[in-house]
Order: sequence, then structure tokens, then C-alpha cells
Amino acid sequence: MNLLRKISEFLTLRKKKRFIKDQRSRSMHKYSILSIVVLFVILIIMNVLVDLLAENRFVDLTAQKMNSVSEETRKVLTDLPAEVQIIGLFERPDNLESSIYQLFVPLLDKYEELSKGKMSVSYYDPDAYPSIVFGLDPTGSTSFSKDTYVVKSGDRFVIIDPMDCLIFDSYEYSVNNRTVIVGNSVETVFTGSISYLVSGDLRRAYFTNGHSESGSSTIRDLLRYDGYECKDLYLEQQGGIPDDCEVIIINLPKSDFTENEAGLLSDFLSDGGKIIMVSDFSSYPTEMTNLFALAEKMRISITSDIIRENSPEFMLVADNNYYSKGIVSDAYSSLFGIEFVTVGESRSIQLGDYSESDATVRPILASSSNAVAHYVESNPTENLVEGTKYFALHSAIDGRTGRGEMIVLGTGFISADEYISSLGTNDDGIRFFRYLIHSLTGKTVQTPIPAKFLPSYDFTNMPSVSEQTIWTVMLIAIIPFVFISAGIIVYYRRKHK
Amino acid sequence: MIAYYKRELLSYFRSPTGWVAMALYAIISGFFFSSWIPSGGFDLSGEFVFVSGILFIVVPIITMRLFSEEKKTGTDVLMYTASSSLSGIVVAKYLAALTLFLLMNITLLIHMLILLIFGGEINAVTVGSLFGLLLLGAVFIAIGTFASATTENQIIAALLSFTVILLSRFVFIFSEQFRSITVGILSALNVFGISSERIASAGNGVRDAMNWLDPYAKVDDYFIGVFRIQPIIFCVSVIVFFLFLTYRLMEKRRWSQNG
Repeated sequence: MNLLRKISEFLTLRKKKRFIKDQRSRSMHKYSILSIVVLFVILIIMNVLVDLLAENRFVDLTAQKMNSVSEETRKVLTDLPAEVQIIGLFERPDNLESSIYQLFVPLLDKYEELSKGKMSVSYYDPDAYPSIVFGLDPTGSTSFSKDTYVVKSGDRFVIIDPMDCLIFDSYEYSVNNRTVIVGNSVETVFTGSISYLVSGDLRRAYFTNGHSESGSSTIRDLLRYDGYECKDLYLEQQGGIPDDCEVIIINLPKSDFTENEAGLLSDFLSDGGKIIMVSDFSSYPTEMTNLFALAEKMRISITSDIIRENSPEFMLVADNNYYSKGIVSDAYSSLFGIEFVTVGESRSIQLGDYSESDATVRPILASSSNAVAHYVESNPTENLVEGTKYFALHSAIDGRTGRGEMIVLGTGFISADEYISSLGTNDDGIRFFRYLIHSLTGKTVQTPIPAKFLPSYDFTNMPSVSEQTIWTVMLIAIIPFVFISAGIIVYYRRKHK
Repeated sequence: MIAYYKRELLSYFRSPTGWVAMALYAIISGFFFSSWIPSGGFDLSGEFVFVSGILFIVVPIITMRLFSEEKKTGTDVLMYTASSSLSGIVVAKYLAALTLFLLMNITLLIHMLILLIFGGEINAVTVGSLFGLLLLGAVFIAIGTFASATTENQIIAALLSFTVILLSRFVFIFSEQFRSITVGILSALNVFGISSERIASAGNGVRDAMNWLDPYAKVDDYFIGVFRIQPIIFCVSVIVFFLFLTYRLMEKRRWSQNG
């Protein structure tokens, strides 16, 4: 009986203990779960709050502010006078990593945000939504390619190919046939296109055609971003100059203009028109009689002499006197904020002696006082007199109905595609050329947004092949071997303890 | 706690684990770095991005033994009866693993030094990328610490953290899949006549919510030279959460031991 009572007491005690333990365990379990949930909720709330409070706060540590929207763009977007749509003709990419769209999608989202509802960004794959093409251009006269962006405001639109916004390493492409992106002009292109579409002060610039003129697509694009509508001008076919023409750009023609064409241009000047003419030796030895005669009437003489810079501080390449820094005259320098531009193989532009003209001529771009000009086909001689030579001159004349103006440049470095592609659109010369056009049309534009370049990661002290081998062996053999050896020693010591 | 930290850190170098992890890290990163030397230029941030992609191999090696070995050898009892608090022990073990990870990254600093000798470019993107890599490492070590606490088998602990870290690398893919699934289910079960736009936005919501948890996406900004506070808060939150989970798990075991 005593034993049975003891067993009964033991079992009761055990039951009690288990009950207490279960109760404690349950409450501890509940506490544990609750504490995890509470912590989770606190952390989520904290993160959401930080996300909300610091959404637009970041520091762009890159030298070129690659990940920031410039002040110029912010100004354009906050002052948008009309609604703008940006439509990507493709599905919005979800994974931007290692894709060129990482340069576009976040930036355009930022644009949308900054515009405060005046601009929308959307993506439609034209294969899935064929009607989008009709919506963009109801006339059906434009063909829209897939994988492009369309910037639209009202009835006007601009098509942007993302590839055109990328800047590639020309050396890598030409030598190794590799496409290496070294920069981008995404902001330049999109902000420029928006400015163009909403501009209430749109100007018309005509580029002459039909004389094997040099490619001008880059300068045309850049002028469009400044609020110009750029059109082709076929003087002979069109038989005249359109009334809306504010400036004519003659960019490195290789053949002469006809008398009729030169006459039309002369009349244009007399009526207060503006012309900017670029003529270097790319047309040589073709006689450009009629075209140069037009300049002569404005008291500007375009010679067949090439400018040779003798002052080392102005030479761009030590052993080449024909590539130099052109000095911007004080009047233009103070106006544009540019002191020097790169020039090369330039004709010497001189003050003409056309006595019948009462045009006033002033310098724009000159050499140092140690330069000479010699006939392009002859070598420089000791008899040449050193002095200031002109790369560009400006001439103005009071015409029949207005003040005609003409700018003549002897170098194509600042206007032709082939030079711009190597100098880059950020080059001061290109900006200078744009400002020259603005000075003729009287247009005021905001500071151009420069293209953004990635930093160069090239080695300045390239290691020799043997040095490369030594470093490679060191990194992938010796250092790991030291670690592995240490591990093996430790392992055996422990094993034999 | 400090004593535990020292003991734990030294234990890495008293066993082959720490040495093997360091050797592996040095070989992989060294191979990547040296393969770029002949090209005449190198963006070191590319290497950091690459290394961040192999953390699913490195981190499990570091963390697999943190708790599981103690449990297997029975020395975990000492933890429960130690004068140090259990939370302090969890933090000490985590910090020891983190210190080893930082020591492993000395290899990358050597690469940086070599790059400077070659006249290469070290800029904000490089430093930001290194910071992003270290932040990711710290997050994954916390996950690995928790994985180690869940089992007494080191291999299972390693596999668990390996899987979680590897899956986190592909959150963006899963999120897209989940978006499609959500849209599919809602469209199929659409008895209330919800508009397709709302269904699509619900799908996008699911995707965005998942993407919000993507640690790689969080630190992406550091890899392009942008400094934000949000990734730090997010990573610290994840670390705190997993260390707390580990602590609760150990605490639960302690009750069991006492019972």
C-alpha cells in the first residue's frame, strides 16, 4: 500500500511538473513567436519610414555625376510649358543589370518624377500593341522601329535610338573590333529633345546640300536640342531660300556653288540673312570661285594658305604645327565663356580688299602672333612673316531690308561629323560653333548638357609580360598555396595531438 | 562576449576551415583579377561584383560550423551555462565569422594596391562596390549563422545557407514568375469582374514586394557610385533579424536543456 501510494504520488508529481513545464514552455513559445513578430514589424516599419523619408536623398560620388540629373534638366522639367510623353517601343525591362537600359529606365523615371505630372513615361511593345504606332503618328508617314524611344509633345515627336545615346571607344572598335561603351549622352539627348518639342522659340536652320557637303548630323542634333528645326536646302532645286530661314549653314562643300546659287545667297544677305560658312582644304584643289566671291563681297578672303602655328604653347602635338589651339577673340570669349578651341589644317581667312563693300569685319578665332600662313602645296620658307592669322572672321553689312551677317571659318574641326566623332560632343569647339549660330540668330539658350564619360581604367604603368606573369603566379598560386599549407599543417597537428 | 569572440576567431585558424576559405577566396578573386591585367586596364568594381556573386560558396564555409559543431560535440551545453549571455554569444560568433570574412577581403585590398602600382583608377565606384560587397557578406553571414543554429550537421547547415544565398541572387527572376502566377490566378478566378489593369497592378505589387527583399538590388547603388542610407538600414535590419532568430532558437534549446 505504501509503495502504491508512493507510486501514485510520484505520478501526480510528474504530471504536475509536466503541466508546469508545458505551461512554461507554451508561454515561452508564445513569447518567442511574439517577440520575433514584433521585431519583424519594427524592422519593416523602420525600413519603410527610411525609404519614404530618404527616397530622393543620395550622394552621387562619381566624378561626372553619372547617376544624377543635372540642374539644366531639372529646370527644363520643372518649367515644362506643355505635356510631354516618352514612349519606349519595347517592354519595360525588369532586369537592368548589364543592360544598356540601366542608363535609360531609371533616368527617365526620375524625369517623370521631377516633371510633377507634366511628363509621362510608358513602354509598349509595338508587336503586342500595334495601335501604339498609329497613336504616335496618325498620318502614318513615319516608320517607328522597335526598341526605340519616342518623345512626343502635341503633334510633334522625336525618335531616339538608344544606341545613338551611347559613346563607344573608337580605338577599341577600329583596332580590336570591340564595342566598349565609354560614355553616354542620354541626358543630353532626352532633355534636348524635350526642350526642342516644347520650345516656344523654335528657329529654322537650313543646311545647304548638293555640293558634297560634309556630314552634319551631330551638329544638327545638337542644334535641335538648342531649339532649332534643321532642314536641308537645295538651292538649285528649290529655286530660292524659304521665308522661314533664319540661318544658312554651309558646312565644308567639296564643289562650288553655281552663280545662281551664289546670287540667291547674296540676296539673302542683302535681306538681312545670316550665313555661316565652313571651308577647309577638303575641297582643295577645286576652285570655289562663286562661293568665295560671296565671301569677298562681305570683305572676307578665303585663301589657299594653310596656317602653321609656331608657338609651342599653342601647338596640340609637339611635332605638328598644323594642329593648334585657336584663340577666341575677346568679344566672343566674354560672350561664350570659351577662350580656346581646337583647330587644325585651317585655311587662312583674311580681311578682303573688296573696296565696293562697306561690310565691317571683326576677328573671331585667331592664331598666336608667331604663326605663319603658306600656300598649302608649298613648304614653309624662312621668308614668311610671323604674325596673327585668322581661322574665322565675322562680317556684317547693312542690306536692303536688314543687317546681313556672315561668319567664315577655315577649319572644319568644330562643325563636321568626322572631327566631332573623334573630339567628342563635349569639345569646346562644338559648343563654340553652336554659340556662333546662336549669336547670328539672336537665340538665347541654356548651358548645353554635356555627355557623361566613364572614367578611364587604363593602366598608366602597363606591366611588362614578365611582370604580369609574376603577379599572376603570386595571386593565383603563391598566396593561396600559403593559406592551403597553413591549413594542412594545422590539420596534421590536430590529427597527431 | 569578447572571450567568446576571440575563441571563435582563433578556432577558424586552429582548424583548416579558415585557411581553406581564405585560399578559395584568394584563388577565385586572384584568377579574375589576373585575367584582366593583360587587357591594359581594369575596373576593380567589376571584380567586387563578381565576388559578390560567389558569396553563396564562401559564406557557408565560414558559417557552417558556428553552432552545429558545438551541438554535435555536445559543447553547446557550455554555452547555455556560460556566464556570458546567450545573445552575447550569438553576436560574438557572428562577429568572429564577419572578421574572418573581412580578413579574406585583404586579398582584394592587395589587388587594389597592385592596381595602383600599375597606375589604374580607384574611384568612388570602386570604394562603393567594396562597401556593397562587405555589406552583402555581413548579411549572408547572419543568414549562415542562423542556418548553422538550426542543425547539428555542418553539411546541412552549409547547404541551407548555400541555398538561401543562391536563391537571393535570383529574387528578380522569381519575383517575375510570381507576378505571372499572381496575374494568372487572379485572372482565372476573376469572379468579381476585376479589371485587367487592377490584376496587373496586383501582380506588379507582388513582384515589387519580392524585389524589395532582394539584398543584391538593395546594394546595387553602391556598385554604381551612389551612396544611400536605405541599403545600410535594410542590411542591418536583416542582420539583426537573423541574429535574433538564432538567439531565440538557442534560447529555446536552453529551456529544453533545463527541462
